[in-house]
This record gives sequence, C-alpha cells and structure tokens, in this order.
Amino acid sequence: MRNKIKLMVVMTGWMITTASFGSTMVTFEDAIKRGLISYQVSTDYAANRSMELEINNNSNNPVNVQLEAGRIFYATQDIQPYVVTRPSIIALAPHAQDEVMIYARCGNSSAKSPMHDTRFGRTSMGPQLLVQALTDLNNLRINNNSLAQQVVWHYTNGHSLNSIIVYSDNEKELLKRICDNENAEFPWYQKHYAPSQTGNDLDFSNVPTLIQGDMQVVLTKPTNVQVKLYNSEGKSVKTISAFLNQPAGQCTIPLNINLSDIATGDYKIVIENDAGVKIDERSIAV
Amino acid sequence: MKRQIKVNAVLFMLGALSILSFKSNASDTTKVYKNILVDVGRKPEILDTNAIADIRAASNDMFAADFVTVVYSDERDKKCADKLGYLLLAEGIPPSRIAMEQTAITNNPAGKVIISGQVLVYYKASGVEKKNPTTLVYNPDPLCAKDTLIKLENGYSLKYRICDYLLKSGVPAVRSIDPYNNNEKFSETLEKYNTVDASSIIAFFKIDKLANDTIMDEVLIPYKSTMSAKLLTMEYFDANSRMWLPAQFKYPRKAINERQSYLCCPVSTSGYYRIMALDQNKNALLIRAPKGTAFTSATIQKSVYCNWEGTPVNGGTAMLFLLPKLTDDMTVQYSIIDENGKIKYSGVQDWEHMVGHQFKIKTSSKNYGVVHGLKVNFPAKGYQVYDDFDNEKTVTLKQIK
Amino acid sequence: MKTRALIIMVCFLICKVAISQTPQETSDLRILSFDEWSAKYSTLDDKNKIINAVSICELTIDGKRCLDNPVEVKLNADSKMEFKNLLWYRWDIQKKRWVKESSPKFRIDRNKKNGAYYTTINCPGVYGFFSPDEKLNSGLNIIAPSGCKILTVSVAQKNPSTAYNALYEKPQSKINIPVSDLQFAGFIDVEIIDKEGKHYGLKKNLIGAHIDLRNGFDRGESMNLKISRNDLIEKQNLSNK
Repeated sequence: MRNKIKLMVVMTGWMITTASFGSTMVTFEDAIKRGLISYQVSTDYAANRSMELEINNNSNNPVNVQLEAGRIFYATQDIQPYVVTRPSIIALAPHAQDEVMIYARCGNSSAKSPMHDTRFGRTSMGPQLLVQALTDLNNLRINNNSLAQQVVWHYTNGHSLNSIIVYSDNEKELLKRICDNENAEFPWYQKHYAPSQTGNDLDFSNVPTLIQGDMQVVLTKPTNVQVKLYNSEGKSVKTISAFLNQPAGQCTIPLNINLSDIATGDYKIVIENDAGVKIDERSIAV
Repeated sequence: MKRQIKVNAVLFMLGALSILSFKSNASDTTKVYKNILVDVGRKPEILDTNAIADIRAASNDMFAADFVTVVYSDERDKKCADKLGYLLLAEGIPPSRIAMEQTAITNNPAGKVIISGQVLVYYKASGVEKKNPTTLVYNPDPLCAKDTLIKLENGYSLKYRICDYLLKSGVPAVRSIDPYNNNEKFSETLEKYNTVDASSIIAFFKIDKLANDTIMDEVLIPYKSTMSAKLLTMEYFDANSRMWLPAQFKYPRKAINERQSYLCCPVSTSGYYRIMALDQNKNALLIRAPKGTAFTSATIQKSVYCNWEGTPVNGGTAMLFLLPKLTDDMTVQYSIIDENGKIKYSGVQDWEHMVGHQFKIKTSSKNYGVVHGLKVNFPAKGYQVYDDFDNEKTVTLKQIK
Repeated sequence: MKTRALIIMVCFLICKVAISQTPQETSDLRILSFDEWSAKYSTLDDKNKIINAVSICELTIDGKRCLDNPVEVKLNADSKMEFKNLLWYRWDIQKKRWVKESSPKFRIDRNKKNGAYYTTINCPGVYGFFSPDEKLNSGLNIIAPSGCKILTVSVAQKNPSTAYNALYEKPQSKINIPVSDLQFAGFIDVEIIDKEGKHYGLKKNLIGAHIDLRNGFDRGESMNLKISRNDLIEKQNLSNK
C-alpha cells in the first residue's frame, strides 16, 4: 500500500512537470502563425512510418507543440500528401531542433507515394469529418495503420464506407461513429482491396479482392438456400454459395465473395430457395 | 473554485486507484508485460539511438496499452527518464497514460531488476489476437497439440486443449448432479420437464465455460459394463424452450484412456447435460400398420414438452418408438397410406383409440426388422393399429414421381 | 521500323480491348429435386454399390471450363442417420456412375449445436452428398411373366434416397437390382415386352403394392417380385407414334 501511495505521488509529480510546459503548449497551427516554429517534412521509409518532421523552435522559450490529427502536409509536386493520423506533443527547448517520426497516412489514393527527394510545402487542417474520425480513432486507442489509411481515403478520395475494414469491437465502434457523423447506415458488407504491388502500404492498388458480410434471413421451413449474384440487368451471373438443409428460423448467411473473376459494376446479392424464389436481396458495388 | 478542486482531486484519486487496481489484477491472462531497458550512458540528456529505435518500434503497441511506465532508481538517471517521457509524447502516447516512477523496488510487474544507470519503460501489451480471416494463424506451440486431462472428484474427467483457452478468461468447470437429490436447484425443473424415467439417467452434469466461444471439449465418465447393452443418448437442456433436446452430433462413445474405459461425451456450450441408457427390450414400442398399408409418419406426444418421432421399420409397415415409459396420457399423430399412395388414415388420436390389440412377436417368426437397411431388434410385445378408425380421412398422396 | 512498332502497338491494344471485352462467364448452381435426379441418375458408385443420396446439385458454367473461384457448398447436418459419414461424389458421364471426390470437411458450427459439411465446386457437372450403404440383403429380383421380357426398370425411393434406372440392350426375363431397403411408398416401374412386341408397364407403381415388406428379410436374402399379367397395363408404343 505504501508503495502504491508513493507511486501515486511520483506519478503526480511527473504530470506536474509536463504540465509546466502547459504555459507554452501551442497547436501546430498557432505555432506557425505566431512564427514560433519552422518545419520541414521529408520521407524516410526505414522506420515503421515514413513521415519525418524536422521542427525548430525559433523562440527564446521552451515550447510544447501539439501536432493535430487530421493535419495535412502537401507535397510540392503531384505526390500524395501526408495526413497526420495520430496527434503527438513535441517538447522543444529554446532554439532547439528535433526530428520526429509522425504517424501519417497517404492523403490521395490516386497519386504516387512520396520518395526521399519529395519536397513538402504548405500545411492545413483536413475537413472537419476527417479530423473527427481520426480523433475518434485515437480516443478509441486503435493502432491499426491500415484502418487509419482506409479512414483517410474515405474522406480524401471518397472511398466507400464498405472499404473501411473493421474486426475488433473498438474498430466497429469507430465505424459506427463515422456513420453516425455522416448520418449513414452501418455498412452491411466490407470490401477488401489487394495490397499494392509496390509493397508500399501508402499506395492504393484499386484491385478489389473480396466482399465479406452477413445476411440475416428468416426461413419459415427447412430449405436449401443459395446465394446468387445478379448484375444490373437482372441477369444471374454467378452462384456464390449453397446452404443445404438449412433449418427453419432465423439464420445468418455468411458471404465471402472473391472478386477476382467479377467485373466492376453494381450487383445484387440474392438469397433464393431451391425453387428459385427470392428470400432476400441486397445491393453491392464491385 | 474550491469545490472544483475537490472534484478534480476525487476524480484523480479514482483514476489513480483504477489504474492501481488494474495493475494488481494478476488473473488477467489476456495481457502480457513488455519492457524496454535503456542504459543511461554518460550524457543522460541525450538518448541512445538504439533506445530511440526500440521506443519507435514499440510505439504502436504502447499507444494501445493501458499504461506506459518509465522507471528509474537513481535521481541521476531522471534526465534520461524525462527524455524518454518526451519521446513517448512525441510518439503520440497521450500524457495521461504515461507514468514516471522513481522506485527502489526491484521487483516491478515487468519482472526486471533496475539498477543505477538504467531506465526501464514497461507497458501491458494487449494479448488478444486480431481475428483477421485473411490471415492464417499458425500456432507452432507443441503444447497445443496435446490434450489436458483434469480429473474430478466424482470420477468424471474433463479433456480439453490448453491452447484453446490460452487467451480466454478461464477453463471450463464440470459438476455432476444427482437427479434424486431434492436440494439440487435443478431438481424442480427436472421433475417438471423430465421426459425420462430417472432410473435411465446414468450421468447428469453441468458444464460452465467462461469462454464465450463454443470450443469442443469432452467430459469423460467412467464406463460400466452394464451400459453396453443399452442405447445411450445424450441430451442438453435448452433454457429457451425449457426442453431437453438431443445433443446433436454429439453421441457418447466409449473411449479408453490410461487403461480406464470412459464414456466420452463431447460438449461445446455451457449448460446441463444428461446421458441416458434406454433398455431397448424394456422401452421399445412397435406399432404395425394394417395389411396393405404403411406409415408415412408417426409421432407419439406426451405433453407440449416431449414427443417421440417413430422410426420406420420394414419399409414403413411398422413404426418403432424408444420410450422411457409407456403411459396412458399419450396421443399419436400419424399418417398411413394404402397401396395406391392415398392417405388412408391420418390425424391425432388418443393412444387408446389409435392402438388396437397387443400382439406378441412369435419366437418362430423374425424378431427383428430393418431400419435403413440395418437390423433392429423388436420388442417382445407390440401393438397393432385398428383397421377401423373414427376419423377416417382419404386424400390423395402427393405422387413420389 | 516505326511502322512495325506501330503495328505491334495496335495489335497489343486490340488484344487488350478484346480481352477486357470478353463477356464475363456466368455460372449457376441448381439444387436438383428428387424427381429430377432420380429419373436420370442411378445411385450407384463406380464399384456398382448402391449409395444413399442426401443432396444433389448441378453446376453449369457459360464461357469457361472451370471457375477460378469455386462455389462454396455447405450442408447442415443433424443427428439423423442419413447425415452420418457423408461423402462427396461427382457424376461421371462416361462411366454413368458416381465417383468419389475429396471428402467434405465436417465442422461444428460456432454457437450452434449442429454440424455441417463443407465442400466446393470448381468445374461444371452434377455433384452430390451421399452416405454409404450398409445393407443386409442382396437386392430385389424382378421376374417377368412367362413369355415376357424386361426392357427397362426404374426404382426410386426416399429415406434414404436411392434410385436405380436400367435399360437392357438385350431384354431379360429376370433381373436383379441392388436396391435393398425397400420402402412401401417407393416408386417402381418396369417396361415389359411380350412376344408380339406389345409394351407393358405396371398398373400400380408403389413398391408396397407388389411386395409384402412386413416381415423384413434375412442377411444375404434377396426379395422377389414376380410380376403377373394382371399387374400389367399396356403401353402405347412410342415408336408407332
């Protein structure tokens, strides 16, 4: 117990120390506007993230710079910008310089990823919904880089909500919040894309590989059930799966649709019984 | 203002206590401590590049951790500890989840001894695997291939794979239940919903699984020679319907383990299970359809809670039921067709109206029938269906072809 | 040189457009009803042993030989006898018999008490889940009336589902069919030809109308169905139409 109290005291002490920086805690935005700092962004793929921020304190005082999630650093050429996905606090002594590796993802899925010689210039905050989504991502303590990238592309390139792949409860909660913020329905399926052939996870392959989801149906009697894919002209293109001897009652029909042999377009997933009678249908975009 | 300070103080204390209680939760097996030990060196205000690389490599894990603690034992190492703290902030670890600790305790939760000139960063990493269906999880641990056997006091054993429970909150527990003991909480339910003669219950147990997953484990019950002539069935109590239902695809089977024979009962979900041994000669009931007719279906119903579906014997010319007890309060739901495929008799009738005279199977004739091509012994006595029914009903049977 | 390069480029582009414009192949899995399959496919394996059908389906593909991404098939199984030890077969058009494919995987469903068999289909054809037959007796002998011969025979019955369809190039006076566990409600028909070339079929098509099944049978015993003239009804000869 004594040790626990001692630990509390020590912890408090360090929090006060950090709080002493509070008097000069400024956001990156403010620090730039007030001329407190100057910065340079470069790319270093050697680390587990590639954005390197060199930051200088131009003032005579120590300063704590708070780099905001959702801040965008633009390249001077037609190269992907960096979007900061995780906020960080950079403590700088007077006239000191620091190099910090930043958690940032690509902000334009259709552009090339930055190289060592890529120059970055201006910076600005991203759209409010992007900032909100990244704030939620951090508040939920989600450390999934590819999920952060999918969230960013959803806002910067209009990728659908279906492309945001969530597994854990925390990740599902994030997607729920994103949907709530946009007044959108929680996506009933997830669309996976192949990793980029370049091997760089900042690049977008634009090759959809898999659609996964569940459909809930109620069967009035035991029956055979088939999952079929219909194209926009209403023609049956493919049988995805068959569930034989499916008992009556509510049942979950899992969908795993490999997209490698399906042309791009809008489709309908139709659940039919073996007499071809439609039980349920949903739309998907491949 | 004073009130605000008080509220803040209470909140801080609560927060700190919750952190401490989390730290002392030793039974939490889903998380493991990870640590990074940093040598201070001659210039404590300058961090070693290896230490920076280590912190950066682990920063994503630390971000998801509940707490990251920086520990140093000597005041001279504080500068280095502070520098590590600032690095953690720059790595995006929120300040509220970073703790600084100067302590002489050598036995910290991370299990590392800290001496002067060293600073330790430790955190609890989440041990829960991400369920990514596109990634095959391969566990090379040889222990995972082995079954663990727990012997229980009542002679029962539980067999399970330790690896299935590594990341779960607990291993299953089995408790045998005496169906005759009135003190058992379950006895009332047993009485009310029982569909069997209690003497036919040879094992009755409850399994509690803390894990939500339906992992398949096996309950082993000592095997007795008296079980061999009996038809063994396993049922589970379905709490939703308040009915005993057959535990599907989970037949008890004989298994030999450590020179001891067991009845092996695979179970996947928590709940009550019972194993019954029905004596076929004592409990079997054979009902024969009139000549030139055959059953298409027949079910004996005792109450809303229990019914028994008949097994067609000899091409459907007779129905065999395995009943725990033959009582008067039963009804029979049946359908009988004639040689033209028309339904000759069908409906729900009281047992006494349905069944005609009792007949004895002559020793000279065959005392067995065929079910799915397999030989099934008939009971010594059976019943013959009356030829004349009160509610005769003739409808055309849907053609088979 | 430039012209050649241009031609190559054009060819390349044409090919690329042609490839990208290839109509997407379509595939369809159809679950066959008992009536459909029992008329076409006898439930015999390539060793001429009867097997019991549980579910039969047909995959058709338009535009490609086989699918890159197979159709997933799941069969929910309960504790009924016909769902034990199921095997996965494909209908061999040449052999006119069912041949075994790789065994389906059996898994207990998460959060459910039931189990299920899983398999996949890549190439077109007729496939099915079958259970092995462990019959006691040695089938059914069908004997034609004197002066008559059997041309074809069809037997189809459910629970367990079996079918036997045979066309005899040389008409027979007596045949044996390996269907054993005969059901009262099972379907039977024979096509019989007499000396005058008249064709006959059975008046009644239920097995129970012809065979007394009440006493069952012994191991190795075969059942006899001796057809009399009274059981027959004359059929219009299709060739005279």
